[in-house]
Amino acid sequence: MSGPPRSFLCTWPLRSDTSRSCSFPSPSACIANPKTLLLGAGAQVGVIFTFLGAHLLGFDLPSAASIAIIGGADGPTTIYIGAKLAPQVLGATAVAAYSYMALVPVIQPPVMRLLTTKNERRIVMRQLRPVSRLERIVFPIVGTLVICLLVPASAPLMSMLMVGNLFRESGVVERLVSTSQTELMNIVVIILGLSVGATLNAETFLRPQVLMVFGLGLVAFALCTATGVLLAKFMNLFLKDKINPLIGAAGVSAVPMSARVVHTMGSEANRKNYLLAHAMGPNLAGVIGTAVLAGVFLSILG
Amino acid sequence: MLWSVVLSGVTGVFLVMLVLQLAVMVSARVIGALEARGRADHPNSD
Repeated sequence: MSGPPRSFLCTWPLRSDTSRSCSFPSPSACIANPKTLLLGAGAQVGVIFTFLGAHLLGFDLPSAASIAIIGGADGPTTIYIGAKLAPQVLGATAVAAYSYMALVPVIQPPVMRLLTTKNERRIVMRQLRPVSRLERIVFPIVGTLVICLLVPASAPLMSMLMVGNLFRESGVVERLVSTSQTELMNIVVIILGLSVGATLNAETFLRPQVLMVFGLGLVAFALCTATGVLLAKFMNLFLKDKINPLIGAAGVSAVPMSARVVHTMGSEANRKNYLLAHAMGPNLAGVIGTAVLAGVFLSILG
Repeated sequence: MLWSVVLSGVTGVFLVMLVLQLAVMVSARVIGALEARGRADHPNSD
């Protein structure tokens, strides 16, 4: 199953040039404000809670890991883990992950509202510093080296994600960027969609456990949102320049929908608040964090 | 097995993110210093 890593390669070049309309996060937010990388890790705590819950409900460890990773809101990673660890729940987890990713604007706001006060939502963050092109080129190289050395099992996902970024940021392989975001993307989507769809036969899909997978997926999304926001609040206890805790919710990757939800909620609380660029940092960190956690699951349970 | 996955998962993700944060900060500092030196050596290059 090499489709999910390939789809990672295609998603980063899909980013358009302006962060205002981006469909995939620029590394600029992470480079300008590296603290936001931790928020991506914070959101993954929800995946671990869901993993425990799924196991308590009777799923074996590989299936529990495949179900919990839905909370990472990362379709390719969910499919990759499902195919490697628990093919019997692959179809259900893939459908749940993509369905809930589309429902991010419905699932996240109540959790964010519940865990933040209006004053916290009003916090205006300092404008990010400009990031040079060289820094944006070095980021995927350094990121791949660090992550692949620490968690080798996540290398297929991480390296594809970062090489897609390198294509984009280098600015010298326009033909590869163009191919990645059009033909290759379409081919991967068709092959991935058909191969996952082929696993959804009646014997495996029309079972009560599938309803539990959907329920746990929803819980995972809510928990990841909550742990991201709570970590942001915790970090605020020690930071001089406060961060808006809403951006913690963008740690559930769901690119770029969760960042847009964060931005919308921030601007509802304070018209002067422009959180989209800030939320892109945790958004990207969430993608990296989910891939790292997937690597941990694979190396222990695979 | 359950608790080793839980502990490895939490510590692994936070450790990787902390190391990545450190790497990003160090590389930004090095690149900033190199660019500043380049501007100082070639003030009219722009």
